[in-house]
Amino acid sequence: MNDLPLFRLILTVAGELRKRKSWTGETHVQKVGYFLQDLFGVPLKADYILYKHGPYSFDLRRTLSAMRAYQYVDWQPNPYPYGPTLVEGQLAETLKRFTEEPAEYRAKIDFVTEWLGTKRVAELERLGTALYVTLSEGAAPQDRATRICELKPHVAPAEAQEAVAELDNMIVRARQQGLIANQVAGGGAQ
Amino acid sequence: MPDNRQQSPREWDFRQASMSTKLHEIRDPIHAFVRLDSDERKVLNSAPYQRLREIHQLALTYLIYPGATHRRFEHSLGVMELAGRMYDVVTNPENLYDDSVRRLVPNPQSFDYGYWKRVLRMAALLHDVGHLPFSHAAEKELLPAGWKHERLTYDLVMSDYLAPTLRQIKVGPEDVAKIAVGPEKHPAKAEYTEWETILSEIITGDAFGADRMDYLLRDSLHAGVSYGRFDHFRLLDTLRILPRSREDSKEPTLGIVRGGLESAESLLWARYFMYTQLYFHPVRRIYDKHLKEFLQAWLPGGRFSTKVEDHLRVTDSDVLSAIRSCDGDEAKPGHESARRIARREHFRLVYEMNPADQEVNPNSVDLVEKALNEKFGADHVRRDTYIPEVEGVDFPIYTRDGRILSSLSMSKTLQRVPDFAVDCVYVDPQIRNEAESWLAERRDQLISGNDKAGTAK
Repeated sequence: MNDLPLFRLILTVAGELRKRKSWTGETHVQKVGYFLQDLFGVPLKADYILYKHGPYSFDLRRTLSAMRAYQYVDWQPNPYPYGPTLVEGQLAETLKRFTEEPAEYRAKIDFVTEWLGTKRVAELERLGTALYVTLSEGAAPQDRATRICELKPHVAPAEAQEAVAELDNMIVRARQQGLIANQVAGGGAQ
Repeated sequence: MPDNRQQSPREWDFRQASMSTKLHEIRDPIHAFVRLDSDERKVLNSAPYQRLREIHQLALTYLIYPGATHRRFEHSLGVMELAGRMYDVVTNPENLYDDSVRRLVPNPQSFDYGYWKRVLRMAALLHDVGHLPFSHAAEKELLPAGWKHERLTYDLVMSDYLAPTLRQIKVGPEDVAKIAVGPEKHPAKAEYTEWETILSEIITGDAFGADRMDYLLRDSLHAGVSYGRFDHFRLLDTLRILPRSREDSKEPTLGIVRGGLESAESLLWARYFMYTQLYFHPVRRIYDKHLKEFLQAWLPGGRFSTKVEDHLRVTDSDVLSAIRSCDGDEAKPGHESARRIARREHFRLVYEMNPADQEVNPNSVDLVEKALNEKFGADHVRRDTYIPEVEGVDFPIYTRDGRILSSLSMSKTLQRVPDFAVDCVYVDPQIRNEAESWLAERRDQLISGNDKAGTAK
């Protein structure tokens, strides 16, 4: 009754992050998951809320906890100032043997992990918040940046503007590659 | 004296209220005394809170551990007491080590300081008022789609049963409801400030939430299972709000100073052992399943009402009375499940998930369940799958040299705390022996017989 295809999908995402030299901490997995699901339509069965420093899914956290219970993943500690890395667990190979690779999402996973994998944590938090504001409110870049600062007072206005600009750039590139629908907000009118 | 009744709670001087009320003490086996003032006692005396006297903390666990008859009533009092003590420690200016945290925490001389302490204590007191009879975990099946007990808690706090009393004692019902249910379970997905999120974490946090601390200690005491004990006095004194300090991020969360690490390790192992020894006891789990089936048959439409008036009317006493009644009359709905509970004729465990079989086939429990269903009929087989919502072994620690490190990098003990899941198959006691023999003869073959996409090897 465990959700093997979902577990395989997350195992693949984590693997792609590590392949790109990301330290693959919880923030990376959470924020990459948010982009994949809410912008690119990859189903992670994760309901996201705007948490302390950006979008966060308790569902995804529970899924990771389940995967650790089944020994498909584990958390490996890192030296200061890095948090633990999500690595393959003892039964990861068994999971791979019994599930198909998520080929239909391969291009989207590659795109998102390439774009976000090596970003620093605070940057991911700002980009994630920028996407949250863009998807929930749309609006012009300056208005979205202002909204980010309202929601997260620790973010400086220049950082918020930078995050919105980068997000819009990402959306344009993803559209050009046919990875997201044209009607998704951000990135200028289509 | 000015008339403050028309003012919003935030405009009113909370400290003035505190001075005008009397302090009361309630004896408690865990915390020695739970203290509350006359204003807070008005909330304690409300109908939604008094109902918790008739909601067992651990459902039917007392059928296995006879001492576990304690109720949500005393647990919630304990959570309030702990949350208040935690607030005092983590907001003490001497315990604020980083500007990112100082900017969040109100000054102890300010109005906000007293206001939020009272909000927190009331949220802690009321956090469980939405629980269904027997604190039932099967909310998905027993409530309409999208409902959980937290939504009932929210509705009750905002209802005429509680909101006027809360306003009278000068706290905003919306603030109390928000902190009680937390950002994940808020029915309208409201946005929380960092401070509100931290307050909510003080109640429901994974590692150090007052809810978890109290239930481990209390359940351990009443069930007679000593694994749940830990040095909560030391842990409380060492709690801090710390920035997580991941690279350049300073997300605030609850952590500890180095001196509390051993108490934290003890808490997290206590949680693991309590889950494996008590909360996931296979007989407790199957009683929960029989109870769910009884409620589905007995309740009108198979579900609990979500109207607060109806919710307040139904307690464990009503359900127990119905179980007795239905057990004695074959014609009544739920007779079969009532009989299994009342006469201890519960289903028996025949197979549980284990790493050895999982290594051969991650679908091992599915395959065993399917085979038993085909051989003996689905009416004689039950499956119980559950993954607990527990996390929290990774938290920040303020070290003796002034750095903030991840607990996982500081403690090999915490690295080894397992996550765990339950996945079990039970059968009717009447076929237990036959099913066990039948399964023993073909279990290995069943489990090794399938691979990717369920095709035979």
